[in-house]
Formats: sequence, C-alpha cells, structure tokens
Amino acid sequence: MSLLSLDHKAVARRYLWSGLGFLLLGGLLALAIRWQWAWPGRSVPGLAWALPESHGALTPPTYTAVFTMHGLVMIFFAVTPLLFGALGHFVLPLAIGARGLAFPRLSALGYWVYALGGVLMLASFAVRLGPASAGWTAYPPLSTSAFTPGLGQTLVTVAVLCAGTSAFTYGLNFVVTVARCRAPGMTWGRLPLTVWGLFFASVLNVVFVPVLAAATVLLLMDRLLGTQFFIAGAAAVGGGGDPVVYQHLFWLFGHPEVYILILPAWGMVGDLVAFFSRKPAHGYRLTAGAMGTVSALSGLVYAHHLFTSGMSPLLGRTFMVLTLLISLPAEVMFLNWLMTLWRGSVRLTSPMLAALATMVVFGLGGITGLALGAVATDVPLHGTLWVVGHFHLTMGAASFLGLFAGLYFWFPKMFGRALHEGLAKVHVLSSAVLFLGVFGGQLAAGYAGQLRRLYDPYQYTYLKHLLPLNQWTTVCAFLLGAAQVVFVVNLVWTLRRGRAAEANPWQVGTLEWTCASSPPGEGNFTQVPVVLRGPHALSQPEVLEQLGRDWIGQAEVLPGVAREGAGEEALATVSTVRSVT
Amino acid sequence: MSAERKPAVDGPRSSESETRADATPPSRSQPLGMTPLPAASDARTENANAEGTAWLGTVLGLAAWTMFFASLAFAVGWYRMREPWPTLPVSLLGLSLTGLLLLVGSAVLHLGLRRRESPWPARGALLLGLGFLALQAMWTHQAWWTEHVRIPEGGVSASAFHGLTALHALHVLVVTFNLFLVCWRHTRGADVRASLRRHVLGWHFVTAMWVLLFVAVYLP
Repeated sequence: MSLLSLDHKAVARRYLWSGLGFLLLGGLLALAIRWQWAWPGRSVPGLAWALPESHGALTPPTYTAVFTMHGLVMIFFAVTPLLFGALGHFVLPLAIGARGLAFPRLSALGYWVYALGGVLMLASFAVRLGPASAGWTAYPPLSTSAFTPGLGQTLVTVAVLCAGTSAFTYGLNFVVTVARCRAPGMTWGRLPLTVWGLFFASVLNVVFVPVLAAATVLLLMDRLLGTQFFIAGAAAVGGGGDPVVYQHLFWLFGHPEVYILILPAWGMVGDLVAFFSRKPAHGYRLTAGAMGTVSALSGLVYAHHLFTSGMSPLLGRTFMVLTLLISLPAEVMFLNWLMTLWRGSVRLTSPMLAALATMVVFGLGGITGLALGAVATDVPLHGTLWVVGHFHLTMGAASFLGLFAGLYFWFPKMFGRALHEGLAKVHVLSSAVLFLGVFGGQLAAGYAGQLRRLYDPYQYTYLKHLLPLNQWTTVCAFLLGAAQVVFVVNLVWTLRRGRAAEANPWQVGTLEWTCASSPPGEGNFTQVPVVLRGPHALSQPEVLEQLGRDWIGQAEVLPGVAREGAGEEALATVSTVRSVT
Repeated sequence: MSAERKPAVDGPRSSESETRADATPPSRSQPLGMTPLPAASDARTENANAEGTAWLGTVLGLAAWTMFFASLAFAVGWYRMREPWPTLPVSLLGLSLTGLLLLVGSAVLHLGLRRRESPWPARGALLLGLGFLALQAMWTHQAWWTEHVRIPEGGVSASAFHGLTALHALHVLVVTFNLFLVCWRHTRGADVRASLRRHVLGWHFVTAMWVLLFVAVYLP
C-alpha cells in the first residue's frame, strides 16, 4: 500500500513498523541502563562505536540521557503508537462494522506528525551535548536551558509535542468513529470490550493530551523565548516562576496516560478471555462500566505523584482516598475476567497466554501501586526503584503483553498469514516470566532502598549488597531482550513464507472475523453487516444444535430463528435504516 | 447497555453504513454473517451524514482543546495565588475593546449563518479577526517598548502577558485563515455552508478563550 494511502489499515501498518522500530530502540536503551546497574562504568558490549571516548562505557551524562530517552521513546513512540496507532487503527473500524475511520485524512496526518516527532527524537542523538537528559518527565528547572542547554532537549520536547498531537488526532478520530460510524445494530451494548477500551482511552487522550501540550509549550517558551514560567532559583529573573506548576500539569496528563496505555490492553484481555474460555464475558456491562469509572477517576488522582512535593496534607489525604478508590473498579474488572475463566473451556492459544500473562503482571503492578497511593508508604518508597518496578509492570509489561495478545490475535487478519503458534507461545511465556524477573528485581531493590536514577548505586555503602540482585535482574533483562528474537524470527518467517491464515482461525463471532476477508480489502466489507448480537455469543445451546459449532457471527442469522426472531430484527433494522435515510 | 436487545439505529450513522443499504432479505448465500442492507440512498443524505460527523468532530475537538487554555489559566492562577499580580501598564479598556471585536465577530457570524447565501458576515468576521490581531500586536508592542514589560526582566507576569497573548493570537490567526479559505472557496462558487458552520465554532471558541485570557492574565 502507498505511503500516502488514507486507508485505516495502511495507516495501522505504518504505525506498526514505526512502533516496532522504536520498541527495539527503547529496549536497547533499557539494556544499556541495566548493564550500568550490574557492571557500573564497564564498557557496554557493542557500544564503543557510539561512545569512542569512554570505549563504550556509559558516563554519567550519557547514562542520564539514556534513561531519559528510554522512557520517552517507549511511552510516546513505541507502546502508545502500537496500541492505538497500529492495533486501534486496524481493529476499531472493523470491529464496529465501519468502512473506515470518521476522518481518514486526519488519521494519515496524525501518522506523519508522529513520524516527524520520531525523526526529531532520532536526530537529537546526533546533536552537540546529546539528546534530552532531564528524565522522561522533563521536570524543570532541569529541563530548562539553564541546566540542559543542548539542542537535543529542545528537539525532544518538540518531538513529544508531535507525539501528543498525533495522539490527539487519533483519539478524536476514534471517539467520533465509535459514536457515528457503527454498523446498523451495533448498539453500545454490542461493542467488543476492545472497542470499549479503545474508546475510553481515546476520550482520555482527547481530554488530557492538551494539558501535556500546554505544559510542553510553556516549557518550550522558557527554553527558547526566555519566559519565566518554570524557572526558579539562581537562574530566575524578575522573581521567576515555579517548577511545581509544571509537575501538576505534567501529572494531570501523566496519570491518565497510565490508563491510556492500559485501557486498550484491558479491553483486549476482556475479549480474549471470553473468546478462549468459549464463554460470554462475565459481567460484560460491569466490565465496560468499570473501564468507564476508571477513566472518569483517572484525572482525579494525579497528585499522588506529588505527595513529596510539599503539598498540603489535606490535599495529600484527598488524593490518597481517590487513588485507593480507583482500585475498586479495577478489581471488579479483574474479578469478571476470573469469573469468565471459571469453568470455561480454556484454550491456551498464544493470544490467550498473552492475555493471562497481562492479567498476572497487571495484578502484581496494581497491588504494588497501592503502596504508592497511600501517603505513609509512598513517602519512603517514592524515590526508589519500587516506583520503577511498579510502573514498569503496569505501563510496560502489562501494556506490552496486552499489545502482543492483540498482535497475535489480529495478525492473521492484518496480513492474511498465520504466525507459528509454537514460537508465539514460547515468546509470550518467556517474556512474561522474564518481565516478572526484571521488574520483580526492581521492586526488591527499591524496597531495599535503592534510589532510582543513580549512576552508580554502589557508591553508597548501604546499597553495596544489592549488586548481586541487580546483576541477576540484568541477566533477566538481557534474556528478555533475547526472547524478542523469537518474535522477530516468527514475524519475518511468516511474512515471507508463512502459511495462509484460515478465514476465522480463532472461531469467534466478531465482525472482523466473520464479515471481512483476511486481510480486508478497500472498504473492509463487501456489504456493511447488520449486527444481531453481542461479541461473545459462545457455547450457546441453540447455536450448537443448529450450526454444530460453539460460536456464531455477530451478524449471522441463525437458521430457523430467522423468520421468528433474528430475521425480523434484521429486517426491522433495515427498515429503521431506510426510515433514517 | 443490553448485550442482546433489539437492533436499533442509535442516532445518525456514517454515510457508509447508510448508503450501502439494500432491501434484499437476509440470505444464506451471503458471506458468513452478512445481512444485506437497503440500497444506496441519495447523495444528499450521504453529505448530511458526513457533515454531521464533521460537526461532531469539530465540537468534540474544540471542547477538548479547551483543556489547553484551562491548563494555561491554571498555571497563571497558581502564580496569582503565590503573590499579588501586578497591574498591566496597558489600557484595560483598550484590551477590552480589542476583545469586543471577537465578540462582535461571534454575533455577526451567528446571525450570518441564518442568511446562508450571503458571504458578507464571513467577510466581516475576517476583517474583525485581522483587526483583533493588529490591535493585540499593538498592545504587546506598546507593553514591550513603551512600558518595558519585557521577557525575562518582567518575571512571570510579563511572561504570561506576552506568552499567553501570543498563543491565543496564534489560534485566532488559524481561525481567521480558515475563514479566509472559506471566503475564497465561496468566491470560486463552492458551497461552503457546512464548512462555514464548523469554522464559526472555531471563532466562538477563540472568543471564549479570550474571555478566559482576559480574566486570568489581563485583570489585575
């Protein structure tokens, strides 16, 4: 397909390849960080060409730049674009029976803005004084020109603005597409949970990305025009501004961003658990409602990131209560997943394994987050690797595994070829176990008091005993990196020589699998389907009896019932559509 | 949110969904799960649906972008709570009258939408927009050169005055440029009513954001 194609599937593929490229870059940067914590100051294998003066060893400024870029690349250029740009763009119109997104040109424009941001990110590595090095949060005054005067920090700040613009465009596009472009009969109660997840996450994108844009624009003005919004201390002129304002704005976006990253994965888990337990999703409405509740609360809990910023204790308590409250709908959703699994005919396919792994790492990430939601436990843990382990489990591992659950599930639809199931399972299982090794190790080191972002933690006597733990964690990280080779091999092999995918390899009833070819052609459907039922009509006795299978398409008329029920419904819909037109 | 209730068309549909309708009853010879739809309706309906979708997108997009200005106002509010906000050495009346141009433009466009064939409301608003930008430029010029409200010497209040005025002016510039495009397309004979209807929303948006700017930054 042309690079200028406006088709949502073509845009999705662009995001997929770009996102995977940035995922590789972000992963390599992560390995460099882990190397430093295991063998501080030693040459990183294969990095001598990039750092000739230190023979490949990370110097303190390089280390700071590496962990800054790792975070920014992963969040803004890898995981978010892969979940929304790749899977969201591809799946959402197909799953609701639309011929495309509501605004195809906006969708293509969003990709090119994202690509421009990506180019700026990459270019920042080549400029004098290196890329950004103020941490992924870019807290001022560290991110102002007083402390990071290089062009790299500016380029990266603009790049983040580009990524935000892209996120705003696809967020808006998704919301309007779900609201306006659903197929006849696709009521809100018949949307797959994946669509619900993408919808709520898109709402959050649309509402909170402008906040990030405001913070970033003010920061850019401080850097380039000399304004004083966030500059304080000796560098301030005329009284200066206040860096804490940036922190509030950043986290007002930043905390919903956690849910922006995980909501699509939650939706996918909800669908996949039902599909591969061969049961309707337990508490479908509660699950969708829980995702909505989490989305609604997500903007009200952000200040738990600022418990140590000197905020009023009253505010601290308020945000603590709100933060702990948000775990309730999350638990409702989690219990619904477990209830769906209960006594189901569980099929351990690669998407299902990835979905189960997502549940495990997300569960662990959520539980460890409770300690950070309460003021009393957050204060001692705040600056430690505990925070890093927690948010990597939720934003990193859970989103990553959710992403791969979706990728393995929809890959045959995207490319018309079937990935090797055995290799896919090896990839998912090894990744899940190694994620627990890496981020579990970080949690343990953090609980033992290791502060995050230290160049050489072992300069502190009380942290010296953590060296073996960090070395084992680093070994897990390198093995995790190696496990991704399995995916790459599987991907390349399948794209070149993989067998053609079956029409409906997972035997599910959603529209993309039952009404569209693999890969879908222009316009997705030969005829727009009329939806008759929800997405999880599995193991229904009448379907088993009449069709001899345990699933039925969302738009498939059940023989025998056609005259009395479904057919009448379909015809009623047809007449309704006609009356509207 | 019933999972199994009678299919219904919830509000307007996308043009694709509606125009590929077909009156043929459901048939097993169709691809799996396909239920044919009524035949294509006229292009006017398709346009109306596309217009409705674009309208919703514009409304949601602008409503969401309010968060951008709300965040800027939050930042200024923070500084105002920290210490007394200095009085701007620029005529508050002059600034108010400048904003009045946007308010008048909003009213002109709103009333003009009722007289769909006339291009004059849009052209009038275009002039008002350019006038607003010129006056804002004049006030900031005066503040900088005559009153010495400068960056960075003026601290955070001068930063807010110049920075936020410029950000708002950029938005007005975009809206005005879009109006110019609408007028230009109209002179070439295109039907711009739907497009104008959406761009008027942009004008109302920048007008509302100017009120926010006035309260947050300009008022002492």
